[in-house]
Amino acid sequence: MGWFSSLCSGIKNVASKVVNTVKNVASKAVEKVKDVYQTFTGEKEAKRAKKIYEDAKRKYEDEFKKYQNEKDKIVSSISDSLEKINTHKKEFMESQIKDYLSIISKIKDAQIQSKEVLEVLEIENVIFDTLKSKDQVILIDFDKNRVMNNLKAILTLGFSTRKKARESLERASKESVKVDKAIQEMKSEIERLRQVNNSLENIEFYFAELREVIEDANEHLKFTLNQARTKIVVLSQKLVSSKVSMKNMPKVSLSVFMLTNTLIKVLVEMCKKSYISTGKSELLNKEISEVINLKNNNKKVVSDLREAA
Amino acid sequence: MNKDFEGIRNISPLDMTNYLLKLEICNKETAEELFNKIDNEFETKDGIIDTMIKPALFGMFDGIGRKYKLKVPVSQLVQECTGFNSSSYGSFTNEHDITFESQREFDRKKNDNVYKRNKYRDELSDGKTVKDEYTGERIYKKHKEAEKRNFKNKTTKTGDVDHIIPLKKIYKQVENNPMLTQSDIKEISNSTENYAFINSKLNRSKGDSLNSVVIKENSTLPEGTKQTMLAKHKKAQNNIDKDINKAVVKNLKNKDLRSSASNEIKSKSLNTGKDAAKEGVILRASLLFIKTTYFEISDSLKNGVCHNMGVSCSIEALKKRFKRSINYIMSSLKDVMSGGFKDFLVETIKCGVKLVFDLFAGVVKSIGKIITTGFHAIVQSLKLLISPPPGMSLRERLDAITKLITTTAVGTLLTVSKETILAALPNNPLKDILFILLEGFAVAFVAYLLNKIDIFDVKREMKLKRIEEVFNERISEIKESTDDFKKTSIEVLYEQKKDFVESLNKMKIGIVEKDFDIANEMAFNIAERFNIDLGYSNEDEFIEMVDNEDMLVF
Repeated sequence: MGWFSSLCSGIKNVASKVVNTVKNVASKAVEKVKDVYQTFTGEKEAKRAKKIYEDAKRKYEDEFKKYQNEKDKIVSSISDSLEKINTHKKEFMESQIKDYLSIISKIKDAQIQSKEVLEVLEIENVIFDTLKSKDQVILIDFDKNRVMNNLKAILTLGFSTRKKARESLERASKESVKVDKAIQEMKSEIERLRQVNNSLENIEFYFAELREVIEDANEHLKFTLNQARTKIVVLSQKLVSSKVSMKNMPKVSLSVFMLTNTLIKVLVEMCKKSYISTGKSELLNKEISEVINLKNNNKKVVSDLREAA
Repeated sequence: MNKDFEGIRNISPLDMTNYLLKLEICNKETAEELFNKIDNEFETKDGIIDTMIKPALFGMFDGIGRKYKLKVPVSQLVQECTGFNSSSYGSFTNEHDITFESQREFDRKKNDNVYKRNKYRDELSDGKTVKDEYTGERIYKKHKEAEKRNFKNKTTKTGDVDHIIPLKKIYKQVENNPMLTQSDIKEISNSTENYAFINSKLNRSKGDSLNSVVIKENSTLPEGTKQTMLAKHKKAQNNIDKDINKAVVKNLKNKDLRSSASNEIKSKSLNTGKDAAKEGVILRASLLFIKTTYFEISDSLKNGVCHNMGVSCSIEALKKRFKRSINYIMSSLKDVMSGGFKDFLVETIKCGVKLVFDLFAGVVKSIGKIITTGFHAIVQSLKLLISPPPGMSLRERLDAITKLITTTAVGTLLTVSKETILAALPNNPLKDILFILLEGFAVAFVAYLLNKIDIFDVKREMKLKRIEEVFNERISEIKESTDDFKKTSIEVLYEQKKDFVESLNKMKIGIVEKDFDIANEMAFNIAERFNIDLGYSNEDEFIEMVDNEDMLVF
């Protein structure tokens, strides 16, 4: 029983080894034949083309999403800066400059003719290279029309299918490099927007700081002009047309007047400037001034009518 | 090319945003535009001028150079100097036409076999007359019979046994063959296939000429006779070739003949190898010198003597150029020597193979000629298969080998059939040049066709490589430009803000300390940096402006 069973198990082992080896060899042979056949039909290249295209597409979509998110964040920050700049412009033109005019009315008549340009956010959309559709790139897909494509390959000795597969591979490779280029351009565009944002933040900072200084300077001017006026009255000097003459003005008052005037001029010019000039800001400003003119005209007509009545 | 962003430094802080928005950071060319450019590049590269005319002309120059045994073929010089690269043409050694030394002198008596000829005649006859094997007419076997009948042209009525391939021609073919004995030559020359009984007139006018020549010179011969003569000529030549080969194989058993032939082959091959190596070294060294001098002269003329020399003095630059040339020549001498060694090996083997095949005749000899003529191509092909240049794909290698073998085969085929082609060409002193032209164009045309057909799809592969190359370059350009842009913008924006803050702080201190001169100076600074025209730049101008204006307008 012992030797017989060991003989049987030995035979069994050998047989199973033989079967396994045969199976391995057969599966390797089948793989090899499949490989050769796929090379012959062009299926291998077609698959490669499809993979390249799909990878490129995925990459493009992911990167474009990232680009959009990043762009939205920066544009939102730009929008905040623009809003702040617009507020500075409006507040300055509506109050600070008027305070200044009222202070210097004791020395000189002055008026505002300038109008602030309000910024309108409009960032031009950059057009990147776009991906062609799958149909335009993948000319042969063995996963879709397996029977037809294999038939074509056999009938044309693989020439027709191989040609299409190679053409697909060329097109897919082109799309792949196109995507890499577009991604780099997106990164470049994001960097531009970041610097635009930085630049606007600087401008907003300049507005805030200058307006703060103007407050102080206006106070000094008011004080120094009052002092000068008192001095003139005390010393019984005449006031020309009830205004303090430049000639009689003390040196300090003159210096403060010049400083305030310079800062006001700088701020007026800053208000008149459009920092994102897409044309819309100017257009909006024109529309606003037209509305104001119309309003003024209407007021005049109403008062004339009242007077006439 | 990377963009220059130095312009950002001149922009006022208030204009910066718009400037940055409109600034072109990188090249705006779209991918499609780049693809079109690459397509055009490839179309031009494959243009007929580059792929056909140019190589053809260079090939012709080579041929002419070799024909007139110019030491350095013209095209070689042009190629070396201008960097033109056409792998199919040119090698550094001249063709060495090596043959065996003559073993013997021609002696008709020793080569003729009168007994065999007479026997042949007798076997053909059926009485007094024999059929002329060329014309088909009946003629008298013996001269006496014709004389008896008093024919006007006796020589046309009687005949002789003709050696279809004349004895002298056969002798010329085998005179240098060390593997044949005198008796072998006699045997080969007098095979019955080389005999033809023909009228005496034709036999005498033929002399030592071949039938093909006689036909050309004798236009009065009837068409049927001409055809027969040609057919007999061909058959006789084939038979002689076969007999030569048989005799050589038979004599291989003869130790004396074998050792004398192998000694001659060995010494001639080695000498040829040595000569080739010597010529190769001299040519390579001369070309190295000419090439280096040509580069320095053309570069000096094109870009100036001091170009890339790092000195401004012309004499210094000339000295540097001279030193550079010498250094280059010295460092390249190793390649010259190894090239010479390669020439020695190739030419020795080539000559040995040629001499071995020269022992034979007919088809075997032609095969030998093809092998030796295409030897260079075979060596190159093996080299491409075994150790390809780095970065060369299998497809590119197969394509290069196909082109090399095909163009060489066409050239060799033409060379092997040179005699036939030359015979077909009109009689002209420029026949050889015409043949070279024909050879050049044929080879170039085949190369052009192969390029167009693109069996291994190499063009597409190369195009894809080029696309990848161009796009990678463009991507790194964009990246570098963006980095430069970022660096410069950040730097400039920081500097602008720093300047502003410095002026502002001084101004604030001035206001607090009532030092309004400083405060005003700083306000002017800011206005200037912001590019704002105030209309005044000091207190006097300000007073004047205020006084002159009825009203201050903002």
